[in-house]
Amino acid sequence: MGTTSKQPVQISRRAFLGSTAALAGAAAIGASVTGGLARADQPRDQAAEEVKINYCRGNCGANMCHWDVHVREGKVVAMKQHIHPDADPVTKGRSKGCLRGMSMMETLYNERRVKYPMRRVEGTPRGGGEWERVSWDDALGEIVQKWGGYIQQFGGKSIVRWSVYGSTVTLNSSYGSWPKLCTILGISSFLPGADQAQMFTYNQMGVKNFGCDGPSIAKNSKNIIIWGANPAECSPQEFRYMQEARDRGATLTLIDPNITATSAKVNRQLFVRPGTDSALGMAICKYIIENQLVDWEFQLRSTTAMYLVKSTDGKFLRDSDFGIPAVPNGMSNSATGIAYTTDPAFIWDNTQGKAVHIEEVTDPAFMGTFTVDVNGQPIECTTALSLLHDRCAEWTLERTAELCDITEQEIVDLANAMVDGPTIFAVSNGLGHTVYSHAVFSVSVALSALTGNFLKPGCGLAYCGVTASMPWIPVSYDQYMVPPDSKPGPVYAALKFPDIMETGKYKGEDAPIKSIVVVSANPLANTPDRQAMLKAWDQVEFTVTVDPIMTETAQFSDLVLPAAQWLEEEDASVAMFTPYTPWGEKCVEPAFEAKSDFDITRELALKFGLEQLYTKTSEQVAQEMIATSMNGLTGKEPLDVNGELVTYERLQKEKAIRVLHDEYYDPYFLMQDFRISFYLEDPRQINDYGVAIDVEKERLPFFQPPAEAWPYSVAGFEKNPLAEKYPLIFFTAHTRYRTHTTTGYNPWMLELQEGPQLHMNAKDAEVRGLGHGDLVKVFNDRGFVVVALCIDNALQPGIVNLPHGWQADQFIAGHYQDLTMRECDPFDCNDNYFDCLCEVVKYEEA
Amino acid sequence: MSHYGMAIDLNRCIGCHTCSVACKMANNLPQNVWWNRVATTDGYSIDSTLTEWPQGKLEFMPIGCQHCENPACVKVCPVGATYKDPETGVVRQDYEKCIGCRMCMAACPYTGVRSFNWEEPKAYYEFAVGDADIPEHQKHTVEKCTFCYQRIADGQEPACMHLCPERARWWGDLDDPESEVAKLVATRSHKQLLPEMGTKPSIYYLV
Repeated sequence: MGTTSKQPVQISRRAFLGSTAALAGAAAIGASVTGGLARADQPRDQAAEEVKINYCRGNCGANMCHWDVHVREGKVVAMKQHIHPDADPVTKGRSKGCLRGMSMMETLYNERRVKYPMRRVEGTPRGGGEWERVSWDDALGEIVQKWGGYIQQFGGKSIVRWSVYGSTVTLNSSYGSWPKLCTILGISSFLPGADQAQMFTYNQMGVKNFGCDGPSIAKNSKNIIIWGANPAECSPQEFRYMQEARDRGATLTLIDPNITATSAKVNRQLFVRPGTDSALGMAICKYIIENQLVDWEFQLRSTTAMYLVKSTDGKFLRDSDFGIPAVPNGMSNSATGIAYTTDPAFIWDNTQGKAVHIEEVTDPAFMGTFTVDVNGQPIECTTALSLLHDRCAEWTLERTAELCDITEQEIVDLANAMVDGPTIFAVSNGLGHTVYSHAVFSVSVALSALTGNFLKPGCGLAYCGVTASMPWIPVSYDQYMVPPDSKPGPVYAALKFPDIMETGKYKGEDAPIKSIVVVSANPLANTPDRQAMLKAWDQVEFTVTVDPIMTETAQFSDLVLPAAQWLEEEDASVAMFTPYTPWGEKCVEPAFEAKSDFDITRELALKFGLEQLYTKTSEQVAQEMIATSMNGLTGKEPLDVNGELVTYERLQKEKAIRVLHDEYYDPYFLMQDFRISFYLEDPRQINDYGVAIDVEKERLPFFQPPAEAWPYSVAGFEKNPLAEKYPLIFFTAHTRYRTHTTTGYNPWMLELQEGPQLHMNAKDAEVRGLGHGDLVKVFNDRGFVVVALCIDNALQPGIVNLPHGWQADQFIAGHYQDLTMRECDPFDCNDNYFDCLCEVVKYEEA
Repeated sequence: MSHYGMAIDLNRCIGCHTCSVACKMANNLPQNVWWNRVATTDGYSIDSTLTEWPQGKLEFMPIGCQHCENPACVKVCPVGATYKDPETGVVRQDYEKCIGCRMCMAACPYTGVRSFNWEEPKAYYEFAVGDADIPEHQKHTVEKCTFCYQRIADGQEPACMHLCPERARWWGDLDDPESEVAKLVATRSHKQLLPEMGTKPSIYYLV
């Protein structure tokens, strides 16, 4: 623990303490002091303190908080939220940051910091904890020798890069340098399943975090629907805008089965049955349509609700159906790659009795089925809105109330809140953790579109209340990651890793995995069905983890490379959840023998003989990225709020440059027809592992009970028979103390908590004879975990929660990811952490 | 002469502990010592409730030294180690004078705001973190919140005030009617901890 020799610091501290005490004594006896209060004069320490600026790179979902990083004698000694100079002194404006970001300095000096390249001692098992220190030259040499052999024998695809979202930067971590090297070598990658239900669905529908900014919510939103989110706990740095809106008179509605920290801050809560949210959304679609509450003017202007869908192929009737070629307009969908085209669609005009283009319509038909003559063929066409209505028809108020375990009035009140805009839909990932849950996200698009809650201040889909805006896109970043003539390897859904190792195949093709390199991720602690993952992992010949911390995954690796921590490298982010440029300067030198990912990959590349592709320094690459960056909204050069160009030189000097006004909201969407569409013409799956999606089903929202976590017989859905044996639903919800396992070993965070605890309602505990503080075993057929019990009536009876973010060595025995399952929908290959049943008993083996 | 005090808006507080961590860091607090804690108002553990679902609420209360106008601790300290700073109203603790008798801990009605270093205080790091000019933590002494005296002496706010994510904390001179904190205390309904003890705390909880 700790990193420097103790003596020099201690001596100097003792030296000045004498004067502190003396002055304190003077103040105590009332000595008069002019020009302020008595204080110790500390020229040495004060002079030695430097303040750098960096931003938090942890992926809490609403991040990039800027921090003042105080450095003394080469060590980070304090982290203070950066107060932006343009902030007003009372509210401190957009300045933000939470306890997790503050504890980032603890990662630097953590006792689990990886100090040197480490190799598992030969003959000892993975995870056995026996390591030998090796030189960088030996470590990289071993990688080049082994990978070279695999590439020669099995091709680059036999090596897999496993990255998740551990850090959001351009040059280091999951992005930038590692993708570049792996692309050049033809290395394959794992597609993470985390939060894909939300991300892939919203991206495919073109509405990723699409809405307005925090201050705009605070000022304009009339209704705020917080759905499957706990922003008071997970996004404390952004939740204040919702609180400001509430204090101004907005109504906050929370939809969550359990009581959370957010519950006390909202006006009302719907305690829904877990896993039923998409049916709730569909019932409201039906109610809104049938009660004429649709914002018709908005549909005409900005959605595809009245577009005609051909019965023959389920696609919109367009000019191309009449032989007029569709012209690509240069844009494409970020999730599917489908090119957007100029290909005008048709709607039905009641007066003219025919299908016309939108400009020609006088009396549009929003609902109905019509026969259109297409090149001499009569083709039945139905409006998208009619198809949505048909899809939602079974979700009457009565049936939905029964399914969701709420009252009909609560559903009506929620519908009216959505209609009574401006309304923000803060839909997060809490409800995206069951198989089929992606339908919740598609129905949220339908609801916000039908109610016209887009394109105005105070409206939209806002993840935890903050918009993901991307006004700054470093163009050369993509070119950097995928150099010319390189051939990226295949992408495998990470959840299918055990199947690949068992069969050696992926979608029928050979998929020999000989080596895995884990970068900016801790997959063994965070991927569902850990026992299956571990079994697969053990079949891989050579495993490497690159991380600043000896994570659970690092502990199970053959070779661990010490990566620089965020505060030890200059970098910028590709995404923006801040109105300022997300730019971080190097605050201290990498500790011990740590190196930046940029340097590690560069040295590896040189050993692979790739000198010609690695001629630039990280500074040069960074400069190039900024110089070629553009404003993601205008497609033009990146300007700050004053119209001045953002340059590398300015970033060096100003650190954080304001690029978005508080009044900002997304002015348009980059999607086909420049219209929001709740109807997916051409639904695609995120990754084809050999199971096709039901295209018809995926075009519109649907409800299906969770694959496993369905211990109810209700509304015509029979309970999962497994619930007889395992009656409790197992949640692993996020807390304020950590973003996944990031900050999970930081001592201050650990002191605040009482270790991993299983939270359980007193009623569920009583029938099992369990009391607060008991050691309990939580288990199902896949595995178990042993933790202390916390009696907590915040939990709905029937649900237990073991807050997320712990690692193997923090449990008494077992692991919570040993319980979770890896079944997924082929649409999104989503990690379904909450689709899990379990039972809890007193731990007797102790 | 000032009378520094604090107002904490419990309607805004979400129990995030950012104030606690800022305090821990700024004052280089030893292992397991917290001068500012955020209590969950109802539950066996933090972040839990005993009230039956779904009526329960997770509500929070940050608690530290109340910097009382009439401090019970000062009266009982046999050596004057605990004293009220006449310049600021801050209740201070002089480690050099403290003899570790813990009379102040017994007298203070606000349980847990003080801690006693039974052993040599342990740090996590071999260099001091936080503000440069803070007294070293000592064995066999009582310690507690100082309103970050090292900061206010320098014209700054206490560490917990630097940036509350919810903007729930206000700090300033209660004697200055123009200060934000004085205005809030004058206009918002508020409560104080254990007013019946007659300690007259300088911490106001806005409710």
